Amino acid sequence: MNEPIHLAAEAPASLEVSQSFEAFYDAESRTLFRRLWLVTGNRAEAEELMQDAFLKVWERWEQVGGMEDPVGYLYRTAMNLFRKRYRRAVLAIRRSLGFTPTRDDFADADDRQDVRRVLSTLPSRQRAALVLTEMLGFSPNEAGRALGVRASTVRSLSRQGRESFRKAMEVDDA
Amino acid sequence: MMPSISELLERESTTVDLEPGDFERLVRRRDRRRRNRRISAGVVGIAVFVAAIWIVTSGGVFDRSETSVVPGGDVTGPTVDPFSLGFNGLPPEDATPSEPLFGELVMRDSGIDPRFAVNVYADGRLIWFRQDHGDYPNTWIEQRLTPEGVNLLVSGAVPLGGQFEDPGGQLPAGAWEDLELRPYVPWRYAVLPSCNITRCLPAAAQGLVAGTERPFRGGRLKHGWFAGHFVDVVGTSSAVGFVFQVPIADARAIAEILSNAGFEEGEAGPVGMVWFSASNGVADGDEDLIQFVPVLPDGTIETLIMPGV
Repeated sequence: MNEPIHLAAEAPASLEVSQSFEAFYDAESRTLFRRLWLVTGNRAEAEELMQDAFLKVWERWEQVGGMEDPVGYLYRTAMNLFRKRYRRAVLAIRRSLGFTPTRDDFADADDRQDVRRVLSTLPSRQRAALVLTEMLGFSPNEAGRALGVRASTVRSLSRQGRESFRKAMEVDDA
Repeated sequence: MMPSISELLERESTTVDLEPGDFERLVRRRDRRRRNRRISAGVVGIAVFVAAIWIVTSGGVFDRSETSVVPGGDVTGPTVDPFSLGFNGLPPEDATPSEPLFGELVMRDSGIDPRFAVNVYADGRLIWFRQDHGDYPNTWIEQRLTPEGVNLLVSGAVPLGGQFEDPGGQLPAGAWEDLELRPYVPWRYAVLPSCNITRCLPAAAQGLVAGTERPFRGGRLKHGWFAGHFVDVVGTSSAVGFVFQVPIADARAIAEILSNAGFEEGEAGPVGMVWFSASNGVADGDEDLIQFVPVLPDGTIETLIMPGV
């Protein structure tokens, strides 16, 4: 009863698809994990979100694997999960205790670590907007869909994030 | 030329990496979800499930040469993976609640990370959970100590295992009445609505929770990390309010009422937490949430958003 259940044993017909998923995972997991870490500020949380996103992709791999942009689907799924969990957590905490989230990995950064210091000052939604727009090249519309907000909100969040960086560091964000 | 923001972020992100075995952890998580779905569908009752574990693992308990999930101590522990135990959501109807129903707490160690907690009871129960790479067991895990075992832990003569170890891993064989890992089955649940019950709970559910209010005692709050954030609430809580506390049969009835009323059951939370949200068309984060949390023998709950009851 405690033996692990292997996909190949349960669904031999989809073995080839399963192997493709594994290759997809190998190619994308590290990058997704790192970007989710930038968004969440916590390794365990980043891995958990990454796992949940890959599991959703895995369940639909026969469809997702044939998509033109499975990576985009993966990131939209991950950001959608992040958004739901984050908003739910904030809501529950606010309603129950009146506390707001206050600390994450970035908060412990040494002052000399400028990037971490700047990140520590940004709310998660601003980090997410920056990661989507600056690192992944999402348009405000695409990022808005992933984050469940309007494109104008994404533009505002990204602008605030860039402004924070500009104030703290001399960077070329052109 | 100064680096761009994207270059800075890219560079910063390369300072972290996945720990080895990440794909195996993914597969394990998928398998556990599948198994939980089967269990919650009623295919396998919890009594059968536990019995099967006992049959598989009862041999060679004291054979120190065997691979064990209990490191370091004088006795080899059970080979059961604590993350394979438990049930998805509320316990099946044939699950037997842990006894005695009430217990005197004699030691508690919550650690720094909230995904680790140990409770020792005067009656010998050791009820605990721990996280593992962002994963956590479906339920609290229960073992049984002898009076000597309780004394060894409470006196500090034997230290508790750390956050990533089994808490009783340092105890000698004589400290154990029952070393097996079993899912803790509560006989009561705390029901924590995020909304005014007269607005968000169906009338039938309101009838079941009426008169079961318990005030917060407050005080013992821990760091809670949730959605990537430490909720720094150590110390005395200023929170005021109440939760509902219902026996497990009523918890099941309320869950069924919520399901029939269109509430959506969320994915299982850590250590037996169950979530329902109203799928009433409001934006994510604005929906009503009803949380079920197992109540421990001393009447407390472990949750990231609420003190003991």
